[in-house]
Amino acid sequence: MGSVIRVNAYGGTQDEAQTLCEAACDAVQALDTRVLSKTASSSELYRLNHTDAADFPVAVSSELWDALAETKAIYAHSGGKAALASGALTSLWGMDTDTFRVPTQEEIDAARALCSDDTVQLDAENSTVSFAPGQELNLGSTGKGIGCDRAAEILREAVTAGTISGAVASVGGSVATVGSPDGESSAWRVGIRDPYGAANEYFATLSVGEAFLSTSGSYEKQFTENGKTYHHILDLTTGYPAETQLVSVTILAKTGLQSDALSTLCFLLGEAESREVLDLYDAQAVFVYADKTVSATESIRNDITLVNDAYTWR
Amino acid sequence: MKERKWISKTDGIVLCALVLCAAGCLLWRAFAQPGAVATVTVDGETVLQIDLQTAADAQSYTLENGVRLVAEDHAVRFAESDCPDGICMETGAISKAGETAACVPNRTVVYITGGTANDVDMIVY
Repeated sequence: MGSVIRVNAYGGTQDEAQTLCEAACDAVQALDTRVLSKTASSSELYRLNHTDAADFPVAVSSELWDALAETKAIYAHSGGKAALASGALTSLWGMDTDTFRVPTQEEIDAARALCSDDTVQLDAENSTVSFAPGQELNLGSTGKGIGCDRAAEILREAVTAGTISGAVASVGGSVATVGSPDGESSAWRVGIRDPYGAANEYFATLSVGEAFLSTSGSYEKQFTENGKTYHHILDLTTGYPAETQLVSVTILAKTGLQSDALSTLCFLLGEAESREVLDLYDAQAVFVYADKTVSATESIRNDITLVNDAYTWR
Repeated sequence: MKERKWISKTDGIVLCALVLCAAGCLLWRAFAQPGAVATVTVDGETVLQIDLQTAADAQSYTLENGVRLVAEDHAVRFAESDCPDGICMETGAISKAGETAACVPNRTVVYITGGTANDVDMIVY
């Protein structure tokens, strides 16, 4: 369990780069244990979920408030398929703890009733949060992206200071690229994981400048019960894993939080329905279908090279 | 609705070890030596190095913590681990400079230095 944080720095001296990579890693880890984690009792989100925020609004740090507000705002485009308050349902399926099971229909109906963001109030002025009893707020689908934002902040300072020319960070598979590999205009090359291959195999490469990338794929966290395979991306309108022809969606966005939230959202919405929200956030997407056909938003299509022959453009 | 628990507190040490390794081995591609070497660390301590240039036939390595690695065809992979998730074994074989495989529950990290660099800077998944 847990995700691997990886930071590679380019340019500069080995000592400086190593210290920097450690600092970036520590900062991401601290952010999770202190603020974002849903399951670690040390985190602010854990305490919030275990307080009765229904009767009186609870004041939270601006860090947490911003994360909650932006996650909620993006999922407001989901037509009820995704929500900040998805915790009751993800807990029920055992997805927070990797103890997967298929719940009964009664359990699903009861949990779904607690997953609406309509009862989640975020007061900007007082930096407070309140929600209905039994609801659980969940940053599981944006936390890795927020981690990338934190890492990128530290790495960008080092690039500006001239300590390194650039760096790439990965927080559990969500990626941030900062600066450039050689201090000039060279692009970064990011591989997009092959949904049908091993974890270190990619079917396409994407050439990018400074960017944030995240992928949501049904290949991750699968489990099989009574011969049926379930993936982990839940559609809150049904309470079950999303039924879709997509196997993965990769998003390139302005921030890590946006790329992470949009990858889940676009996986749930499907390609056609995703256009509007992608435009709104000025984000790009790569859609991979079960028949190994691929499509991408216009402006990044030329930056993508399919390196596995089994994959073709739609 | 992706991964719920993305870093647990107890994973800290191994994660930092991994970052250290990644930082060390990927600083400058120019530093790469000819011939790939797999370095295995447990709790950040190097416990084994495998010369992948000469590792053609399957060779099995069992660590003190029970984790078993197999080097074959100039690549190395986790072959056996008692971890609950098995993510390390799903990673598959790694062979190119900069590639990393980790078994977080067993605090074991394998990374490759030298040889030909992977032709991507990172994989998004």
